[in-house]
Amino acid sequence: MNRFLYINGSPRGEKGSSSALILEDIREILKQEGGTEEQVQSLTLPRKTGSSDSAILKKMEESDVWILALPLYIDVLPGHLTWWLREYQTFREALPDKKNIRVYGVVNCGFPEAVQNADALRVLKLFCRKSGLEWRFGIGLGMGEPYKQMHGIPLQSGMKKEILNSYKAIAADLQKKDTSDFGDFYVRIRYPKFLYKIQGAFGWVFRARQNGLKKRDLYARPLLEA
Amino acid sequence: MKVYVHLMFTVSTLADAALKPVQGAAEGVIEMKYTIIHDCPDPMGQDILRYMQDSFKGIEGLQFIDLQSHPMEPCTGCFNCWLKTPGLCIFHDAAADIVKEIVNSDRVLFLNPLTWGAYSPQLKILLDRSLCRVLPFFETHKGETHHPSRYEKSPIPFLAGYGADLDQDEMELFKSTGQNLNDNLHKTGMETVIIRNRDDFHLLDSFAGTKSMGGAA
Repeated sequence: MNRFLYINGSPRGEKGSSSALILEDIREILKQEGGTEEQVQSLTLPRKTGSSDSAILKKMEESDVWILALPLYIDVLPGHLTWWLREYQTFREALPDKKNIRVYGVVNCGFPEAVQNADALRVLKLFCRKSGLEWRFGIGLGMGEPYKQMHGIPLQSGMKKEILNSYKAIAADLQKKDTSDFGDFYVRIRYPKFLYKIQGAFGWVFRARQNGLKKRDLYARPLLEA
Repeated sequence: MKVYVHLMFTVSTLADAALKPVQGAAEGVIEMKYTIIHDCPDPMGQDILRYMQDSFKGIEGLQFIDLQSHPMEPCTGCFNCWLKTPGLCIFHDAAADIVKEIVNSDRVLFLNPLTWGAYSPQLKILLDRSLCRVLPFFETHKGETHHPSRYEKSPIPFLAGYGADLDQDEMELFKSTGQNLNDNLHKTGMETVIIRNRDDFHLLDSFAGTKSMGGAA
């Protein structure tokens, strides 16, 4: 029996998080592809750190497959996620019997280059190795910030073909018997990079105006000492 | 650049004990401000810290900031530091004060235990809170998209990671982590060192090499 745990590693939690939508999409694809999914649970790791929660750590341990989605924060994992994964590693180290857990990681960044997620995937891989978990492969997703704005575009459309294929690879990997390495995927929506950048810049200014700010206000340097 | 000695760290949320400027030989105007930010929760880290405190003794304008002493709110990803209060985080805690210290330093050293080839949780929480140091817009740097710096001048960073049982993958990744930190936040010269035992402590001395750049050793 496969117990799936979908872990949302975004500090935004469920609200406004691309990671939550990515997990929703993967879950849907795994269903369609007829995976071995039998029992599904979700976990959004709390943003607050400093005080551990054994119920969370047990939930992580009592699963056979993790699908972990997170945003890229300053090149690697968000701080709160690093804290929780270290808590889990310490918890697991103390266990007399360590059962196998297969791990898939999906990291999204706002930059158009999906490959900027590579080091975050390497961190996850090392975390798995040190914790005795079975790292399967990762997906680095570029242009991740507007994932929610573009969520209306079906995954089956040409624009999202690369993304869909990477999600399907998880299903394929779960179904195959051998443990050969799939390799990581670096994907993004098919959208011109220059347009994405221009729209992004307009978008920031538009959102700032909604807060009563002018474009020049965005360049403030309030921390500079005289 | 002139920075005045005896930094006035007025924010009450930081205990004096945690922010310890090393007293200079003389008061007055100095040329540089050095900040060492450390997360050393274990004996090895404390040993390294003592080494630095001894080695850098007498350098004016040097301060140590202990991340273990300061609870910090992790970033929420709200982008308010870009779009509502540009350059300022919504959380007014130690991390906000430390980011201000970084912005106003000439050189900054980050010391932490390597965690899967990257940062310790405490240091990472601080770095995430540094998002206010960049602008929301995009620029191309070394062929990749990044955010431009909010401030014209950036402190020269020095990233130090330590650990007794590090493997090759962890060390390679940490070097890459340092390079990425520079490309994203600093865009200046950058030094990344890995300390595995006492024989490596001297690698930190190049931060003290600043003695010849204005410090009064």
